Amino acid sequence: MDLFGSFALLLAFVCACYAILAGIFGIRTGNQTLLKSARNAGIALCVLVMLATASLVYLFYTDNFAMAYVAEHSSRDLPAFYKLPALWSGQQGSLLFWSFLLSVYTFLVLVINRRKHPELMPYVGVILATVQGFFLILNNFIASPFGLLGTVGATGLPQVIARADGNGLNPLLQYPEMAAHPPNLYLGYTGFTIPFAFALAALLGRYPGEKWIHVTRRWTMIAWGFQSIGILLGAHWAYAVLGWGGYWAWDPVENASLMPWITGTAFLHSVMMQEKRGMMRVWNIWLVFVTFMLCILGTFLTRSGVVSSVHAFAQSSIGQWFFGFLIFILAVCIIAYTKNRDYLKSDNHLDSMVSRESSFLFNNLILLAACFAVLWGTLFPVISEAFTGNKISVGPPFFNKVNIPIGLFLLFLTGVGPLLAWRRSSLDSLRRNFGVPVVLSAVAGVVAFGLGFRHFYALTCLILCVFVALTIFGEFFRGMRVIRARTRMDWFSCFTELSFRNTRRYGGYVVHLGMVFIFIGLAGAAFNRDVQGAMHTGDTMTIGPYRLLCQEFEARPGPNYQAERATIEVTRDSNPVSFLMLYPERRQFATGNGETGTMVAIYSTVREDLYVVYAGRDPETGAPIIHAYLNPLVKWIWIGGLVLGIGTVLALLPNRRLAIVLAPAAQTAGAAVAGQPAPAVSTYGAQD
Amino acid sequence: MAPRTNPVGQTFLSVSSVPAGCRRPASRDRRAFSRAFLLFFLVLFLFLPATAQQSDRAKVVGHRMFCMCGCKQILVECNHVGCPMSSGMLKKLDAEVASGKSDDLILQSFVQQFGAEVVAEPPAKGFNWLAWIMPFAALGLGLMLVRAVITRWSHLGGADTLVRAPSPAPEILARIRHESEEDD
Repeated sequence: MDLFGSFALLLAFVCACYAILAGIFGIRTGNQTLLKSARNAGIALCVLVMLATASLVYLFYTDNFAMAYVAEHSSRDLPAFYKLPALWSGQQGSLLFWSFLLSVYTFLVLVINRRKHPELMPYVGVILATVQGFFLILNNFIASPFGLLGTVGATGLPQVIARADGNGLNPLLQYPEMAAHPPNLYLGYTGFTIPFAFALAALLGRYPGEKWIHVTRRWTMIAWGFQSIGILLGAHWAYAVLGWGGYWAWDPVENASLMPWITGTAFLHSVMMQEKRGMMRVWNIWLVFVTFMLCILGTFLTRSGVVSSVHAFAQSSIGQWFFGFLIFILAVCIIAYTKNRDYLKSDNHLDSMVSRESSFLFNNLILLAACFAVLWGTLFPVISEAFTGNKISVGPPFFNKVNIPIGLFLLFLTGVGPLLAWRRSSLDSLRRNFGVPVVLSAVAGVVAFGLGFRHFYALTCLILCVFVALTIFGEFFRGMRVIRARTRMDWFSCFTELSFRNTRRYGGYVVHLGMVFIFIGLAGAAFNRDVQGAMHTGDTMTIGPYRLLCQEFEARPGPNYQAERATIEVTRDSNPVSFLMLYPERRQFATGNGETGTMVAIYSTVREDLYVVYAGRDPETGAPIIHAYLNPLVKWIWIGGLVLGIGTVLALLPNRRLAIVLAPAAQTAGAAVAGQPAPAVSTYGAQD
Repeated sequence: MAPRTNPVGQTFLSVSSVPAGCRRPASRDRRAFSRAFLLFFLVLFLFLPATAQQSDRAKVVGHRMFCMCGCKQILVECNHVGCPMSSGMLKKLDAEVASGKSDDLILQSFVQQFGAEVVAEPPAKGFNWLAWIMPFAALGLGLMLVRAVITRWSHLGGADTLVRAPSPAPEILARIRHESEEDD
């Protein structure tokens, strides 16, 4: 099976080369047979990569420890559920997994569009095959996951050896979130290849109009949705597993995933300008290019060792390949743009400063400023060392100071932008749309201040969250009221009718609401509290309204670890009756280097999380250490993620067709002769 | 001016179609609105210093430093029991805070012992000023650019001044239209 996987990858690389060459010659000569052949080669390479990946999964599940990669990342006692995540737990496997996901996307794009866009698709096929080709070079020649464990035998010839057992999977990865986080994140990274390929293809082929945007809109949203969920799952994993009480540490690897998400968000907004008004063509093309390049840059940072990170893969020379590929892409984009920039000339005309168009411009500016701040902070230690020779650190205090004000301004625009009209907003409409939200959010601010909510950023965030939520609810309410007046449906039916009539618009509002919830959760971090101490059986600890009583410590065997579990009884507000038992756990894994892992016990409510970690025993005294945190509002982050996901799915759905309501003449304003039904046609159009 | 319809179908007259005498001056509205907001935030700021003093100073300073064991965690967030560095660093931090030193002096003392990498944010001096300035400089530059772009686009006239890309062949346009209908 290892030979099968290696051979499939090699053949896939040959197919990629053929698809590129045949595609280029086909485009130049207009030979349709060659173009069709290139497309088929592209589809074949996808199938081959899928087969190679399936063979590696099979090797994991059959415990084939003659394979170096399997021996390094799996073991016999590893639960079956985690043998699949073991696939992407190391450098080689994760690169193959990247190729696999890109193959799935490429396969779908080539098959779905096989009879569409004949001018565009040959270019798309060549670009996708080029990106696939790069990853197949890595999979075949630089970081092959199909290497065998070997030694030099007595005869001087290499000999394959099979170990009795493997090293096992890193304990930190043996959590359900870790099974879901990398695939989602990689689906985001690889998904941005599709809009990139279509944008570059449209530029190279001078494909007229905004067609490439219509084609790629859903692909971009899918990639963005996966990236969002991937980032949030990673944050939840950090929160529930690492046991330091937080979910985001501004680590370079975390930042690498955030940057393309930010530019992708900017693109999803600015693309509407091009669709509606034919504006910002240059800007949109470059946003897609930059988003894809940031995906590659993030991979470069994660795998090159250029910046130090606890999440990074082992340092290797593979970073040079990514850097080279990044330079290649940049060069191609610049050349393509320089040669075809006249094709991108836009109908740039603004009627008013106060309009949806200008709000999108500001929204894009703020998003790019946030992205630049993250990139700058991530790379600054390297820049500083290059210029001054001194090593410095750039950590959470820097990122928080720079990004919180930017984020709050963005939140403000989230509320303002959707309520501004295209072309021009009148003062009257501003007053009507914003009057109630502004007054109520100010009232909410005063109430929160009175209740002791006195951290400046947190209070500002709360005020803005109320403002944005009210503007969103207002938009839904106005639409539902119109439908109700015309159809007499109940409010819930009006809500679904409205949402499905313009899924993109109302899905977008739901996504915005998800972001509001996430911001509420982030604001809670200003009021985190924690307490740590040695706790023997019978000892107590108090944090906020909670009193923790340590009842016992017990040893518990797991499938591939030994756990020590604390039993903590929780009482609240001096009430002697316990209402909760928490079981934080410390695990010692048998395989590998005897690593340890934590299972944090979390009592989570919408108000706050009681987060209890059994951190282990003090090496000097042997006393068990319990670390308790009280983290307000964290649950809103995960609720926000869920809402964001629902909004994305809603925005992906096709619009319900225009409804044509035939009403009898009597119901219309004296329209027709009595007794003869004359159609009164009501149509509900869709606008963004 | 003709009545306009908003996205949900409500018809209304734009402001300019209402007789001037019936409108409140826009500038007066804006001024009142700005004053209310300024007053609100002024009141907010007046109360803020009182709360800042309630923070645990050691924790605040500890949040500005990294644990130097290699875990890349903030000093007061390092959760490794038996960490070879954090317990000693925290004891030193408590002692420095108790001695009444200022935050900057405490950080300087840690830098002398552990090197500049111990501080979790770049020092705001010398070359490292750039770390702080650049994001806001980029934002400021971007704001100016956006303003310039908006002003330029606002001053562009109607269709006469628009620069359009060369029109594609009619048969290509027809096919694209057909494909668009299929997609929708």
